[in-house]
Amino acid sequence: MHCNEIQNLILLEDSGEITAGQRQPLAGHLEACADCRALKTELASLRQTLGTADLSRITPSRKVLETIQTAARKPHPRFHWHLAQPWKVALATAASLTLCLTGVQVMNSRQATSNIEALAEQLVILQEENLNAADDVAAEDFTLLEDGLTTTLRGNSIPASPRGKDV
Amino acid sequence: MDGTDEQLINLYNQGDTGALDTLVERYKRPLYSFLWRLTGSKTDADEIFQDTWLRVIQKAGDFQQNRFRGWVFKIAHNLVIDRSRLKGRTVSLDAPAGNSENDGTLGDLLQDGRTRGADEQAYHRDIRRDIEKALVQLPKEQSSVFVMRMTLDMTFREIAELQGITLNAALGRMQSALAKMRDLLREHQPE
Repeated sequence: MHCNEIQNLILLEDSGEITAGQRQPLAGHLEACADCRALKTELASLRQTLGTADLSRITPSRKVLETIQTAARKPHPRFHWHLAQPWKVALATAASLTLCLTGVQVMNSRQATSNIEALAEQLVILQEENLNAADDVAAEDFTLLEDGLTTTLRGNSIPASPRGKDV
Repeated sequence: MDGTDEQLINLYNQGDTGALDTLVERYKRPLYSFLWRLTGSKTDADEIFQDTWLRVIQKAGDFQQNRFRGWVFKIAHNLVIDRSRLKGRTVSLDAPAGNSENDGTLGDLLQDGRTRGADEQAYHRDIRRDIEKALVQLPKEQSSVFVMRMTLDMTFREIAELQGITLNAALGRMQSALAKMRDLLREHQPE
């Protein structure tokens, strides 16, 4: 076996991962090879030296630990709350749906109201113009607008004002 | 709080924040010393330690592995590698082992130190500082194998799995780390 392979076996022996079949070639090689024997000494010396380190004062700063603690207490992005309290999920879903539906209804109603108001304003303006100037063209425009308003009012299920017919 | 690491992370997933505090406390020293030895900087070790746990918190719901220890060190190791790549400190992923002209071993160097007459404690302190300095200069892929094996007592199979490499690659990185450390320590040794 080549020294490189034997040195892998030395490392595996050191970590307790060597197999029974690997022990014999290792022992045979070590008897004959000073370089590979030196690696064993090296590992033992290194471990002894590193083992003397006092790691008790090597700790993360307090600020770092506080940041981690704070983050751990924030609601879990995927898991915690909805598994722990499923009724909250149902409540939140119902509230969201209600808000959405209400929003859609309000939007529709506002749209219809603003259309009616705009048409009514134009109707009044044209009506005045028509009465004052007795202009045939204006009268025609007025009739068209009146028809439009009536159609819009019917489309929104709002009864047309009887005043509109009188004009 | 008692329980295995895996039980604690599952408790945390069920809303028990105290379980995570216990895990942080349990891993405070080994994880921090691992980071400190790899980076050689308290600031870097602090930042990566914090980022590691923030990622643990973020990904806790996805935890499906057998061993929490492997998972948390894998996260930390990847963050160290990312940071070193960003800083451009890593020389190469698997650079060839040390100087072929070198005829000494770490064992010889350590023995030489003893014969200089320094007392045992002071000797160990000095040589340890040299090792720590040398570690910072190694490519992170190699120094992390060295630290995981020599100070955290992880097996090579565990290291290989954690780093996503083959067993032979882990052994090769360890051999390279030892050879380079031999060269670096030689440079640090007084004439």
